[in-house]
Amino acid sequence: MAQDEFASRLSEEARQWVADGIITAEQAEAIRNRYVSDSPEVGGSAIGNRVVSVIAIMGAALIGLGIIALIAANWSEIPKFAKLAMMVVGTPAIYVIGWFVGYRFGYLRIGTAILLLGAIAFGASIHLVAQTYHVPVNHPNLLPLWFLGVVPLAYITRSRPMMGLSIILFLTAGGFRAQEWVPDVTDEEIILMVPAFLTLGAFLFAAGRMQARFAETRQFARLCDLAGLLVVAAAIYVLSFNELWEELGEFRPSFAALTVEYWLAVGIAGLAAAVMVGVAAWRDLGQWSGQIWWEAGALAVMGLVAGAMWLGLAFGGEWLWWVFNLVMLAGVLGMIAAGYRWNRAYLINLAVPIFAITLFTRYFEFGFGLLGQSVAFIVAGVILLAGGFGMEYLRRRLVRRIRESEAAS
Amino acid sequence: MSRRMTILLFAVVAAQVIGLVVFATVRQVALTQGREVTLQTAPVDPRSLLQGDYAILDYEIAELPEWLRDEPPGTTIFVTLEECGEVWCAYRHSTWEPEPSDVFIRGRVADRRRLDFGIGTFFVPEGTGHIVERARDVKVVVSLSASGNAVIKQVLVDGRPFDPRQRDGSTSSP
Repeated sequence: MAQDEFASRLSEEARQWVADGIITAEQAEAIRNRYVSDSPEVGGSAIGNRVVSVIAIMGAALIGLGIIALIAANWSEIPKFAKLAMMVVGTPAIYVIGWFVGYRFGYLRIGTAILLLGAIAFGASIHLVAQTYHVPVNHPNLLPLWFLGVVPLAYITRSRPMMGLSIILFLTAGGFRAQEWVPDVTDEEIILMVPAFLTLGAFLFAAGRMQARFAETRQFARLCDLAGLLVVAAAIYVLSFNELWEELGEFRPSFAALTVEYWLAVGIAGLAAAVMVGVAAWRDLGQWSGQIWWEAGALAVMGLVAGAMWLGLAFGGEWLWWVFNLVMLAGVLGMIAAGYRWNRAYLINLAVPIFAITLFTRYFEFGFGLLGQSVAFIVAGVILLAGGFGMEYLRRRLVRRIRESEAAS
Repeated sequence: MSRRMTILLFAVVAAQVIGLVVFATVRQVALTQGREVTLQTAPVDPRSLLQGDYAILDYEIAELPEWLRDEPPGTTIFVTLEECGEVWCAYRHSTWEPEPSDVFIRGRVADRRRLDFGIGTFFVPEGTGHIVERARDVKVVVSLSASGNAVIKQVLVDGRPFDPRQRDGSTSSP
């Protein structure tokens, strides 16, 4: 309890210091991370705290899976109303226990994990009701309902695992709604969902960038960034296959299969993303760092890529796989550059595996004997090696300059 | 956690419980207040009849007439029903809602150009799916609301209500 109050007070103070021009936003974030997230002063060692969190969340996830499996068994010995009563009473009971453990007894990490278990139990309850009345498990309203019930809890408890669950539910709910947006699900038409998912990824990325500007939501920024960029990369990856574009040349997807809801969802997600980056820019006024230009630029590029996907799917072109591979490469380099420029290691940690997966996919897709492709790979490799050398040179120069200025002072 | 946040937390939990209760109540009301009709299921490929612990049910009335086969997927179609022996059969198809005095079911054009009435899934207790799978005749008793929405009330397997205890051989179908 005292820890939470301290965290809240510190966040508020840090925000005020930034507003008064005493410290920069980056310094405020560093102070917050020092004292709030896993500070040894506040309770135990940083690693110890993290281990407790991870173990508690694993425990909650296992119990949650157990509850779901129990429901899936559809045990017939217990009457329908007794089963429903168990869930309707049991789910709030889990939340109450979580609240007491976390906020009354002071075991915040364990309490947060139990609250997460409550959120999983809520989802299990929705599916139990659905099962009782023979509503199909893939009904498009079940997961959105679960998501809507969980996402406010993430903001109220400020729990990253709860936000992680919300993001998973958000994306999965999008997938389940897809059967409404593209009712005639064939292999040709389902590919039209790819640019729509890219838009959802852009929405998550913009949400992350906006949340980074508010002390109350800053802890979710990285999670949303990563999820958003991962979804965008996955969408580009799907369209980076040569074979796919060859098939699309023969069986073009019909845009007539798309419903108004599809375009409405895409439009709202795109508009909301633009608004959120606008809010981030507004929060940056007065302490202009140029970071917002990178973020707005990244969002604009995502919009352009989604547009290129729709145009490509509408008009075809077997050469388009090249375009999306180049876009992927540019995106990876952009993430690495942004990671260096803004000192965000997670962007580099994300970019490297994406690059490796794309590279290995292309390698196995084309085999060994294609001269043209091998030349392209060698050229791309030389460019990357040169780029890596340049970035390492810049990094060393930057570190040297910082040390020199420290020595001088 | 501040007092305001605590109140918000429990408000969300209350909203979750209310949501669950409303969801269950709507279905229960549809089940108990609706018009009861029995529908004949259509034979389907036995390999796709069961997926895990639920049976997929296809209906004879799900077949679209020739003049509606070009309707785009997702289009709402109303099927007016008439009694024909033990079960109810499709009498008329329309894209508009029939008169309240008619007995009708609301469906949507799905893939394979058949209608989906939202009653295509029947959950069974673990390990009892073979009872439906091996049956010679499967009929479904559904409850129809005034707007044509259907909820499964009972599944009749070879003329008898589905009984999961049949799995251990204690009861046998005729």
